Amino acid sequence: MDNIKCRAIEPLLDGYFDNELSPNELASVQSHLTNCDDCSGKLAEIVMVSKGLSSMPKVSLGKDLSQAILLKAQAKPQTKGQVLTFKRMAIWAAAACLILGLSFQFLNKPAVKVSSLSGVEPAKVVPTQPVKVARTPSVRKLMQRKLAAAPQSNEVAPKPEAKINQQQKQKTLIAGSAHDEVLAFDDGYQPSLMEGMGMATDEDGLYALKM
Amino acid sequence: MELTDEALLESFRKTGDSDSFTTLVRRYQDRLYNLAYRVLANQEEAEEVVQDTFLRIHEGASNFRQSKVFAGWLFRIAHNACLDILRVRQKEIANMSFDQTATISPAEESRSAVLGQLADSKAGPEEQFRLREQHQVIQDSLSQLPDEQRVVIVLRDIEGLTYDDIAEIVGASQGTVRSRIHYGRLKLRDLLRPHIFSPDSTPASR
Repeated sequence: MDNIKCRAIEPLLDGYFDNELSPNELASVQSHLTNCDDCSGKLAEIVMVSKGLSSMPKVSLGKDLSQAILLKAQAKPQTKGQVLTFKRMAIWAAAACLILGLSFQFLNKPAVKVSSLSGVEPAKVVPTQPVKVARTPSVRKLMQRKLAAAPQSNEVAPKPEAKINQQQKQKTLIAGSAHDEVLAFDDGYQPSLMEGMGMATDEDGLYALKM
Repeated sequence: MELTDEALLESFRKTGDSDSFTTLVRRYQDRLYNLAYRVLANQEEAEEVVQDTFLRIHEGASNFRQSKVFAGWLFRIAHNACLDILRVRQKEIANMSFDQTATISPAEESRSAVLGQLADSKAGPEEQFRLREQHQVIQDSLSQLPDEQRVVIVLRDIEGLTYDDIAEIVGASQGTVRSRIHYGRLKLRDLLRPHIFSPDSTPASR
């Protein structure tokens, strides 16, 4: 018979006997067996081996182990249970630490993000006070003099404000390190804002002159 | 009405009902013992496997997934317990100058034979003697197989499990199981050829 075909069929003979072949495999084995005495003989040997094994007597324990096992099991869990509880506690503690760590990181980061997204908000706090300062009589006098000397001296007004702002910034910096990032960020925005506020101050000053 | 294995385990898991647990032990202890004995060919070790398996079931009952079949889980644990013993045995053999464990003690085999005789009451004294010899030869041959092949052969030919069930128990693919069964039987055929395939002895004809 065809040796190549036999070699392909032989490993399937066990599955054929055990009824574990796919329909295609089953069909090919069946068609091959009808023509191949050699493979039919091998199948007969498989049947003999398998039947020989299944004919072995069932060995019985000869006693009931259920109570002995139950006693052992009930004696064991005390320590095992404690170990399990300890393990569970350790896992929960580790999880809690992780959550705390993550939340700490999360709470810190948004402080910067908020200031970067709404950068105008902290900038409003710092420059609004210089406007009030600009209304003081000494500043008004100084502005009046400067404006009289040079009517388009828009640069004059911001100078005292800048100084005052710097002083206030320093105070704020001393007040709390938590605001350091915000202030550090505000520094980037302040020149333009100060210009704007300077104009306002000028206008305020002009109003003061008019009044 | 008799409760299913899964229902008994659920009852034990929920209420700690020891009766449910002992029912499961009684239901499977002999079958597990037979499986372990055929794989290990040792009475004490087979009993150890039964005890260890049920102790693990007792401890890990809460880990059992209800979608699974209890027997599959049980056999998988028993299979692992057998492998643990075989590994220890291999280490011991490696340290010994001769192998004392590969053969079955005469007392054990005679006990099995007596049980076999009881199972086959139709056999006469001569037939019983011949069968005893044949079972001895088969068990000896089985013991000579590589562990992985022996386990799947026992699960298939002695326990009658499907390839799918065996694959799940031993943690291998169905193709691997098929291959192990094929090569295991080939080797058994070669080992048994001088005994079982002689014209005088035909256990398969029984």
